Amino acid sequence: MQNEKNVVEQAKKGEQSAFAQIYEENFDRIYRYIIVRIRNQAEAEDLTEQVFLKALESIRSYKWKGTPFSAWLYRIAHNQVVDWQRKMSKRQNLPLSDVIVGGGVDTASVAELNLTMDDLRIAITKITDLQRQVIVLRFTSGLSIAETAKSLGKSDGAVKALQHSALVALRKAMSGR
Amino acid sequence: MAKIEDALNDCIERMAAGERLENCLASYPDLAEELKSLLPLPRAVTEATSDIKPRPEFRAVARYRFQSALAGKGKEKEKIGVAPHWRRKMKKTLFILATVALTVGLVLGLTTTVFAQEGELIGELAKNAKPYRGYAGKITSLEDAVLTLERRGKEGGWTVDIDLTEETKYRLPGAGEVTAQEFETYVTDALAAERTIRAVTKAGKAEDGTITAEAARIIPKLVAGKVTSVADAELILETKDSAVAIALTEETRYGIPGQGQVTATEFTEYFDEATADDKVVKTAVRVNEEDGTVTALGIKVLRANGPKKKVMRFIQRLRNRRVNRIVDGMGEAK
Repeated sequence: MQNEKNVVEQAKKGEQSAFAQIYEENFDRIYRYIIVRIRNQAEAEDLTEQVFLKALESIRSYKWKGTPFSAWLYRIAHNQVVDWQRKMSKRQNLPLSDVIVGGGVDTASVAELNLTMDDLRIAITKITDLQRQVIVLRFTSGLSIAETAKSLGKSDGAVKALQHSALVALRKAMSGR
Repeated sequence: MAKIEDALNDCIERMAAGERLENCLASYPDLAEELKSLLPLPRAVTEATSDIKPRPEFRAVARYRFQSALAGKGKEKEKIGVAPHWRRKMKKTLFILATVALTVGLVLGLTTTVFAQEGELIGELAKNAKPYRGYAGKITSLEDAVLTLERRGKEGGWTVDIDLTEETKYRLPGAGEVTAQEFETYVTDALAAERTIRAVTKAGKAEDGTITAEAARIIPKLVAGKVTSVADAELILETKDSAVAIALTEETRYGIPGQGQVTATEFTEYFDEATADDKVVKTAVRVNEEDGTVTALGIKVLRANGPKKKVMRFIQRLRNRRVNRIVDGMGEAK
């Protein structure tokens, strides 16, 4: 954490290699967060780029508060997604399965649920956006409850409750298949 | 009895640390049944999404563009660029991937560049947020080197006085940097004609509360509407109230969704392919008060509501053309 703080401080001072390091460490996870939320590859690529350009623009205003820098990036990504969803509210998206399914081999933990990887991915598209955000931040991006709460602007308790309702909804979406 | 959300989270974290499901369930016998049905899911989700990764060609191009933006920011600060090995590695990777992408007919995504005139200045201000602040608002007066702006917020409107000094720099829509006298003339003329004009300033606030502008810029007027024709260096825009003829000049800049800034030719081609929904644009304009002519400074196509096959085909052709240019450029560089 101290190391990350140093890197961020360097980036704030304009040290380009520090920002390049932040970019490399977070690019894939931000992309993953966005594509699972919006289910559109081309737009996810566009928005991912925008997240880092916005971060570059705004990093001077960033204040270290003891949470990982990625929480701030997820916050920017969330705002980008919300803006995009508002603009595209009438647009019909490709189903997630068309975009990201394929290539994955069913794992033991998925098989335990008597499901396939595709079933699970499709089920993720059936839950609410807020529930999906929690699922993605917690189990795809690996954020803690506190970090997820910071990214979503919610309390730890609210995130725990959302995590519970999201898993229940996911379970229900899968059993409905 | 523990709350289910607390017990669930406790078990999720213990299992992530390597503890067995049975041990967790034993800690919460009253909730065991529900926990048992939910606890396999987190790991399954992790595994189901772990192989979602950006396309290599997108990753390479995005990194190239980000590095360009980073280098541009570095130039502003007169600092040294990105570590050379990173740049060399990235360029080589980009060349290989771009070539592969062309061969197999892949489409490369290109970034969207927001380019509304006032947006740019606000962006510039954001980059230099400390110790300066941007004050934007409707100009209500300019007297004795004090610019008064009317600002609006959630709790209503208020005014702010901004001191102009000999060091203050000024810009007018379409005219670039101008003198203090030209700026003052423009503002006083507009106010005398009861025209609404807005400005954005880059200004610092002293401890005594006085605000001094380092730069002040008039925000161009924006016109939004549907394009009915683009021909002979003129764009006809159907607004809410009427149709407006807007002159296009060599200085006019154009942006389309997903492509950022494009050339005039590409913009015209876009409208040859566009359907009704794609023809809605926002235009930053300069109005000549003497003859009433309207000139476009920048035109941005607003995103359409749905995918349009013809437009997508056009964008794909445009992307391919750009990829060719990138590869050609690299060939020349070699």
